[in-house]
Amino acid sequence: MKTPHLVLMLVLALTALVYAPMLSALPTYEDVIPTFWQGWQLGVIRGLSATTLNLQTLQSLALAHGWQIGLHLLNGLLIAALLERYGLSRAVFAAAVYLLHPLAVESVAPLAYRADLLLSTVILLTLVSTRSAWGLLLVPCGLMAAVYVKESGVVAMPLLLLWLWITCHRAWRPVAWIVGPAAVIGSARMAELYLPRLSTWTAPAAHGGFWFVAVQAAAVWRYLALTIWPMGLSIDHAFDGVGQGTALLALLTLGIVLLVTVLWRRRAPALTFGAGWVAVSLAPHFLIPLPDYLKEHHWGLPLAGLCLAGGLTGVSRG
Amino acid sequence: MVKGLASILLMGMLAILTAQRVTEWHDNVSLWRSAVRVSPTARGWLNYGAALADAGDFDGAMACYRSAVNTASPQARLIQRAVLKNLDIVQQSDRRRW
Repeated sequence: MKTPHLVLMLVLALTALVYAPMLSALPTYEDVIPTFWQGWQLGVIRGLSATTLNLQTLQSLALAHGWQIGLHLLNGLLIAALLERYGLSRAVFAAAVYLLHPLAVESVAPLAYRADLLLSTVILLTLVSTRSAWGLLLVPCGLMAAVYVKESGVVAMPLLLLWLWITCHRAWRPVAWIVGPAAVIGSARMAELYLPRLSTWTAPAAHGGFWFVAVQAAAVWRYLALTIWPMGLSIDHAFDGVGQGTALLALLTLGIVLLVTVLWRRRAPALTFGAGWVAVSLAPHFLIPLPDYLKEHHWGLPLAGLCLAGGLTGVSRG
Repeated sequence: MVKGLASILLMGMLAILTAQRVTEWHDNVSLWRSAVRVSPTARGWLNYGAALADAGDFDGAMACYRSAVNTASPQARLIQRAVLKNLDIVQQSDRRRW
């Protein structure tokens, strides 16, 4: 066994150890919303659970939390598997950052946010399946499963394209022609699902339209800051009071950064990939106003992308 | 060698912060206690109060609800209505207790 493999096993063991207290955790915050909980039984889990994986059989809280921790460990392994061909050490490092980053806790700990974690797993599995010709047959299943797990799973298609763009120089254009229309249909389906529900949700603060997008851009900068310096994590980030000047500046700088990463796509493809991944995976939050601008569990998928981008740094496309 | 040591140090720090965050997610009281410590919003105080009331700490809950009312927030009116409702529940349970 090579040293990086051993290190990966140690990191997995450390992650399991760090998350172990979760097994005795009580239902928290949205876990206790009556529509989710039916007594002490786990309510019907939307998405995959309804048919292929009926988690209603998990009557124990510890088992449900164990399942979440297992998915998180699997995601770390999938990140390592995706980056393995670019160097074992960097693959293990990227996986370790994902597994041990405190910003990932909110997508693992509360059972109510299980769909976010499962979505990351399904998308990473879809990317892994592109590694072999036979695996490609599973790609359509992965894309469908992503939308089934969560409405915002429609982002799986553009994320797959991004992955193919950076890893599979020749294949991404023909796939884009096939996946592109599917992404458009999927987005329309998402809008159809979400729009009737919008009127029942509390609009975030008093912002609307343009200012909502601008404040959301400020939230993206805050997410990035928390990724680099993960202090001050909270279930309830005070983000409603962001001033218009700050929001405008955040939107402007975010736009400039995205533009620069597109222009630098040949010089620094990993940077383009990382920025593109974050932009795509957070796009639903810019389009569909949720009651909160910043929720740490929304950062699970972007964090996985940033770890992949980190592992791809310095690697040429193809 | 330096790279390896830096990586170990980074992973160790991340593991400590994650372990701390996992303990915060253990129950509603610890979760909202940490939330109001980071950002003392009206919603945070309200939920912290509700968690304390659920745990039977009515005095603590009352103090939290008062903090929620005193917090200026864009959602203040909405929160204040919820706080007053919760205060009423706490006072009723207090009366029943005695």
